[in-house]
Amino acid sequence: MAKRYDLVVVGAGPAGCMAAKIAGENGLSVALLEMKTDIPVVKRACSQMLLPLNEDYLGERMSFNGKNGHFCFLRNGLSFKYDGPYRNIYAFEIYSLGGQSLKFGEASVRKKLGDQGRISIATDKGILIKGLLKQAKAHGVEVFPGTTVHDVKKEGDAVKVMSSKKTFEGTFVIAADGANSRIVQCLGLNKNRTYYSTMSVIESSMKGLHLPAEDTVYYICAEVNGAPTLCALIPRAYAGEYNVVFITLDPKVELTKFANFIMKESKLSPWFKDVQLKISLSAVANMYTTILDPFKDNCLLVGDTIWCQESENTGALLSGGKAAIAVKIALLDGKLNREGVATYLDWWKQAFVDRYPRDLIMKNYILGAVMTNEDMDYLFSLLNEVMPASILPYTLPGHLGEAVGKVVPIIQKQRPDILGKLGRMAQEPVEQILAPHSDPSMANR
Amino acid sequence: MIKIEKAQCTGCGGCVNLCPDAAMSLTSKDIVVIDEKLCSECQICVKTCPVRVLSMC
Repeated sequence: MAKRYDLVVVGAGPAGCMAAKIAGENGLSVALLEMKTDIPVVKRACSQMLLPLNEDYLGERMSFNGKNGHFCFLRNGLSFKYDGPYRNIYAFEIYSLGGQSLKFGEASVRKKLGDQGRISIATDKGILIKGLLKQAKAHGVEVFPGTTVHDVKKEGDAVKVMSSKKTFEGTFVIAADGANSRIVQCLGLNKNRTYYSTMSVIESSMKGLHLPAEDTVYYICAEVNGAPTLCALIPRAYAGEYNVVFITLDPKVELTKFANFIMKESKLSPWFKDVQLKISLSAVANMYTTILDPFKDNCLLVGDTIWCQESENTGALLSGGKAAIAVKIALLDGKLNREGVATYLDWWKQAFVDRYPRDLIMKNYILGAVMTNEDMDYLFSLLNEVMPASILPYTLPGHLGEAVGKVVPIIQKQRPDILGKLGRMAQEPVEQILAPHSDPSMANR
Repeated sequence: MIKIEKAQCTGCGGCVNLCPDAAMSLTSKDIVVIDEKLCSECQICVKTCPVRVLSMC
């Protein structure tokens, strides 16, 4: 007879490791499953940042104390220790392919404020995960790497999790298996979600870049035959190093070709003159509308499994922790069902569903679908004021919208066609804008 | 049959969860491997792979 765990957590990323740690600390018996063999080795492209540190996210204010490595979600009181290296990031800048830029904060100014001026921190995500895993194991969590989950089924009062190793049984399951969640697919929960498109990413770590400023995240916002395609250059926790990611929302775009164009031929190629492209990581993530009700058959869904596009490491950590707390309460109350985990479902509703408009995060990615590279050069050239420092995709569109609003009379006179395109961004459903770049057969339904 | 350029696979695991047949998993070296008995050759993995290491042969 299979061992019955209080909780089976599927996926040992930030959400799953936090869930396992919090559950273990609170005395639950936990099995943590992960398809990779070496859990702390990062295999999936990621910015590795913890953000935001200068504004609210999910109704939370986040804090990091560099002296003791204490990261805390202050309003919920959930915390964890990160004992790896980190670097403060102070500003964010978006470039068009032609070299025009939008500034959200200015690093040289904000750096004078020290920790108060930072918008995020760069971490070593492998060390972060290793720390959470160590804390989880110290509280009795059993970890099963090299275990791929292929099905999940509720049978009686247990949830059975079928995997490449064996079948696990839990009173509850927390699905933390990411943007292409197998569990979400098995539970049939992708059927009612609008599918936007699939995001493809390749990543190369680079040293020796010549960027306009330090301690700043750079985006290069472009389109390749109308497909929104970007390059992000994110400082790593190690001085002088950057995680450089190339992203497209149209899987037909050849990312290596785009990367080589940016690095060797574009107006921004001087940034890259002393570096090589060496792809070490990649990622592919389906983008759907958010899952509004993150519970079915005693499975709680956390992190990228429920978010639109991505939760950020912080959203993953917070939702994983909240779900584990809810499971503990359910077990204490003897309510082994939806009612028992109401604290998680209520939190999700107020923290995310009722807080952020449905398409908001996607607005950060679709400029290239409505504008040409030349249009973006023109628009960015009009926006010279430094906008409020932010790196949060849920507040950036608002800052940009405000700045654009100030120059509308100029655009009306010089390029009324651009106003039409901005109108599309504001009013047209994102799935319609992305339809030419989207393949519905990839929707994993 | 789906061919894998093992030397180029980054082990991101994106294809594993997007496979409608749940035919894929990661080896102990975190390289993707396909159970051909389960694979229906839909080629979703081929379309999905960001580093283009999968192809139909």
